[in-house]
Amino acid sequence: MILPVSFNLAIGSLRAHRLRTFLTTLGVVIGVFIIALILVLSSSLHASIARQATKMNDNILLIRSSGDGTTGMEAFSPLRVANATILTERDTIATSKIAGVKNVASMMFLGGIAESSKHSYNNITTIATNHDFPSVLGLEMISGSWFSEKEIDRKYVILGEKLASGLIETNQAMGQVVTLKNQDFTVIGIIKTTGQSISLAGVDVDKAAFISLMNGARFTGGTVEIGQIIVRVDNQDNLEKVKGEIIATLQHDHLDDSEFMVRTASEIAGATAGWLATITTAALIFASISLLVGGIGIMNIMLVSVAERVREIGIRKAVGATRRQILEQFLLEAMLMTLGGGLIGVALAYAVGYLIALQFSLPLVFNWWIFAVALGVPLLVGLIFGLWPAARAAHQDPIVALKQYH
Amino acid sequence: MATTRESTDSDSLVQPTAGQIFFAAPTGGDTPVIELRGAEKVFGYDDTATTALDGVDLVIERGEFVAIMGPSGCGKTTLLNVVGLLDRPTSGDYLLNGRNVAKLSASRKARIRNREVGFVFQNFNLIQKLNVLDNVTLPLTYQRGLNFRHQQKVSTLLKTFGLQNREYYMPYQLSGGQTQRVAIARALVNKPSIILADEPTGNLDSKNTEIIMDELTRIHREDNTILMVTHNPDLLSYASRVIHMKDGKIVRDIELTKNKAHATATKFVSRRKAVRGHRRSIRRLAGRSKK
Repeated sequence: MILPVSFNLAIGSLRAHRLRTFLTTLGVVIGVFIIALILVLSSSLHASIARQATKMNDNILLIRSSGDGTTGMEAFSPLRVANATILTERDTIATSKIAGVKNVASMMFLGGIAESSKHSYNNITTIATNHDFPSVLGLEMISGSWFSEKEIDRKYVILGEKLASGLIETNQAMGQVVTLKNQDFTVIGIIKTTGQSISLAGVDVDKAAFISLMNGARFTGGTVEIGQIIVRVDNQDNLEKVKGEIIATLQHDHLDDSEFMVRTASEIAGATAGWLATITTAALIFASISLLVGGIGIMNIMLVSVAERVREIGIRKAVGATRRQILEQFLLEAMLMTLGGGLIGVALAYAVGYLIALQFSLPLVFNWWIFAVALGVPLLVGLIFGLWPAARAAHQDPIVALKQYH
Repeated sequence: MATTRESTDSDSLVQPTAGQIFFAAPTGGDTPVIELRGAEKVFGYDDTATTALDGVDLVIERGEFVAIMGPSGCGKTTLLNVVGLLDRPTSGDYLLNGRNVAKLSASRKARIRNREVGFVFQNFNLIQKLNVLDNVTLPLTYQRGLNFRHQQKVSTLLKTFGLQNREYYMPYQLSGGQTQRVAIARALVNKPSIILADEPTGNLDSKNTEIIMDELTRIHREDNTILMVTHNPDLLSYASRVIHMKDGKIVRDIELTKNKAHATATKFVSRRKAVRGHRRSIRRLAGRSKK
């Protein structure tokens, strides 16, 4: 083993072909960048989900519609929260009467345009809910207050802090008029930033507008179509008991018990994590293809490099380089390229991941294993795709090789 | 007095005895550096088979400067490749410093090549991307273990070639003569048992040829063993022994001068003078061998 020597030789040869080295490495950079970015974002989302399952939320139950016939945990996919709306206000009231239930928030998901005198936003999540919503979710207000039970007929709106600062200046938003789907609402409160883009509410509270259910019904022709009911139980020990009673109560009112789902917050976090793992795996498989292409690029260039340097190989062999030393030199060259690509790729992934995390209020997580994967996988790629060209170099016949002229 | 001895030597060359070795045993050496016994090399198979070496017996003692001549395709280069362990004989034995190396594995041969053989090529064969220092250091880098004194060692060596100011030059910045001197320095850096030179001046003009041959003579005088393939009869005067090959066989083996005597003589006499006499006789010799 003459690794230090091979290392110097490999570095020297890579430096001699800077542009080629850079372009070849680019393929690996892109592959590793995509893979590392997926891992970074997935672990950020994972951390975000884990935050939901904190003590704050361990006595929460969620009831969601599964009206389109979907069964199982699919109903809790963050992607389809807003779709099914079989639950009614009657269910909310029935649930709130069950012993052990502290309070209940029902949610109606509405989309649409939000306008202020200054700005206009297209796809704003508007949620129609009841007066208990902030206490169920443990939300804090930075100014104003939530509408009371008596104010549900008033055209009031409460804004998430980010939306408020987007539409109007946060400190000037109070009392301003905001137009939601062509109806004017007065801002009476602003919710303090939660910093959680994934929450049990199923939406990013910081970017949503909240109105009363009665106001929400104006947009749907008078029907209150509830997508989700959040139930806070007074004691965590009662969680399973209350869950059973809710199911019994709702089954009484609904003909088909596949129309709704009741889950605890931790079950949902688990389900979301599972869903996330599936998406991550799928994404990683596709990203691996780009790394494979990068690896083929490395192999291609290494083969060109070997063909171009046949005489150099001949000279090296003539002065006493063994096959193994030649193999090491070329293999190291390939592996240094992929390792360098991995380093750049993972650095870029964290840079971009940071920007995305900032944009979507996700926590940025530094996991040692992401670095291990982002550097280990390219090393392996370099080893696999560099081996054949290196073996070809090592098996050059020095006599033939020395006859090659430039 | 020395001049007289030179002329005597020259005269004795006129009637050489082929294959006869008539000078003293090499200094301190019991075993010859090179010993080929019935070395054969056949390329190709059956109908297409070509015999490049046809039962070559050759003994080279330490301190000899052997020139190999012969027409193209006579097997000179194959002989050099076999001696340099780049090629293996199809049959026969090859003893390098008394050790049979004919059937060693590729990697063991590489290690022996690294320590015992120094190559000088017609087209110099420096690595273009490496500077002078790195090119000369190259054989040392393939030795086991790291030696941080390499650079100093190589610098000292380059100084003896008058290349101390060229250490960080790239090969393309050097003249042909300088390039070949770098190549010779590289061949010497491992203190090999034998230096194999394949037409070392084939790509050089007469002035640089003289410079390179002077270097080789100097190296020879320092008790190195040199085996040189050449087409140029002028160069034979530098050698202590001339071998003629034809169709893979050694057809004539002539001792030009007693190795030791030559070395001592050239120390005292101006080299040019000493060589002039040689050249005359060798031209006669070469002319005769052509007929």
